[in-house]
Amino acid sequence: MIEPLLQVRDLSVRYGAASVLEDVNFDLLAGETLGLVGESGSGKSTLARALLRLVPVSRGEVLWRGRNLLSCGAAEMRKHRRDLQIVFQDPLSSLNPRMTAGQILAEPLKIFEPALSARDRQARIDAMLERVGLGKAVARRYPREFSGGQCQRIGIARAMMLNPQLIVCDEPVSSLDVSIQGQIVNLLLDLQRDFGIALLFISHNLAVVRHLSRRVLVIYLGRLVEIAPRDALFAAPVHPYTRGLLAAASGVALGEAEPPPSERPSGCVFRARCPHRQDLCAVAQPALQAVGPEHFVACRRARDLMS
Amino acid sequence: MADVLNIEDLSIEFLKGQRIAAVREVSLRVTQGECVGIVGESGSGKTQIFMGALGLLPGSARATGSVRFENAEILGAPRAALNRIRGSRLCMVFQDPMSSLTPHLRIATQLAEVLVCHRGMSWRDSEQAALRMLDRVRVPEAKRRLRQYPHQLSGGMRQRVTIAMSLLCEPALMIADEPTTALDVTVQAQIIDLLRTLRHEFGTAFVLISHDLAVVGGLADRILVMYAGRVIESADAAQLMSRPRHPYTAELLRCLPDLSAPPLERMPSLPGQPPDAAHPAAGCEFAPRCRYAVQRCREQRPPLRQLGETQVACHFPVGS
Repeated sequence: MIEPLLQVRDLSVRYGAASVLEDVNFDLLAGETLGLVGESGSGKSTLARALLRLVPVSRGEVLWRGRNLLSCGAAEMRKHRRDLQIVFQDPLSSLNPRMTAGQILAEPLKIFEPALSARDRQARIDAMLERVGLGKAVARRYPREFSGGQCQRIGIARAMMLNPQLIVCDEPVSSLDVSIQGQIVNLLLDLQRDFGIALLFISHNLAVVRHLSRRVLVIYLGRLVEIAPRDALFAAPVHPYTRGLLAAASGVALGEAEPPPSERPSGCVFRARCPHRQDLCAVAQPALQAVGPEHFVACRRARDLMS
Repeated sequence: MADVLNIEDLSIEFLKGQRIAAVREVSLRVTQGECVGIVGESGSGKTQIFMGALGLLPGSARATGSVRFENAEILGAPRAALNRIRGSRLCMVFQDPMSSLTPHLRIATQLAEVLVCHRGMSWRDSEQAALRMLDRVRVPEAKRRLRQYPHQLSGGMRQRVTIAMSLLCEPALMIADEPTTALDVTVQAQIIDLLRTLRHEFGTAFVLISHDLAVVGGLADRILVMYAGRVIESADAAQLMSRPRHPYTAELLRCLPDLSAPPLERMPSLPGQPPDAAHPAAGCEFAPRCRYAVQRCREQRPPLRQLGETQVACHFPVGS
């Protein structure tokens, strides 16, 4: 049994009275690609930020190779940050407009490897620019001189500079044109394979998640509702929400209109829209239960739905 | 069928700083009750055509050509004339429903205002009509929603409200600009279903603008594909989806995800970068990314020409 790289235990985030994430539990293995699918307001970006301690967490643990990131001191956290990187959705606004591509990539090296000579630093930057398909000639150019897809390559190169063990990718292709999305997904796949980096890939786009992930987490209104290996999830989804999501992707609409986030139902979070709801679904949010190898579903009717 | 909208040779340039040609010699007709889809990626000019047609361009832009709506020229028409048709005969639904609703007004006020302004109806009657319209666009608990503010509704409900608003005066043409892009996947399919139903109920002509060929393919009778400000292919929806003639259209179709097929090793994509509007190419704008491009494509721009049932701007159309 390999020790997981990341273990998330009962992670909960509240903003005032609003519960954004509730009791999220999952493991991420070294070198694994884990997809996280959810719609707007589901808490997927909050989860990404909570893992990196970019938002305050109200409860739970984030164990990074056994150490709880949420309770470690500033110096130790800084040490871990080199191994934990993030790529954001909007490639242009996540790059400093007053720095050239070369300066942006130099930053992590200056902070974490100050002993590196200017020459070695430049060599590392050039090599990385080549690796992400931009070429070292672009090092002097500013973010505004690049297209969206090229900016995202710079964002990925910046995340890669320190040879991290995990990159959290928060909707990295959602703001890109369809013809460019595949380029970026394929680049991430190549980097993941060549360097053995683990990826937590967050997206609302099922097709993109399917390309990248070994396992997929499905999140709805702050709760994980299904965790499954990729093929099991797409061939035999169990949770009614996952089924609705897959059907919607092929054009079949879910019957019920979605309630506003402020009108979250009691009991199971999906109850108001669920075609299979029963009275007992109003009682409490069901816990994740195993329904197959590496396959977990948070639904009281999971067994009936599978038969 | 009579033309509702007839755009001829429309070009739009932005003159501030660098001169940018956003729309170049676009012609487009929409007949009564027809649904025309406009597909293109960001910067292809698909939205600007209609910003130009509706007189919504900034002062730094210049539009030339002709835009006839219900047989009257509206390009460059005075604001008073445009105000009579905008929001009543000719409506636009935008991508982000939150920013097209006024945040501090109740839904009832925003909807009723349309009829008070355009039809001179009383507020009381207008609110009754608004309630009936919310029912028609399937907003659940319409009565309660009327008393609420935009932030109290979900994204899908907000988009239903903006659709209701645009239908209140029974327009001859509704332009829906990426109406589902800002919405969740499960809600997108609901809104598309709604648009399909409304089209038949109201007999309104539609222009559906989207980057997503799948969305447009499911609704439109006819599709125009745009690239770098020009129409590069135009055909019947079924024809275009099954037998694309322009290599760019074919590539877009290849990039459409198919969740029913086994997963591919690589995700389909197009090589290269989107065109740079500030530096237009001498020949075909798509040539740098086209797998079939030859010298002639780089030097000579292919005109839009009739080829069987399709209009295509390519020297070497696919499948000929």
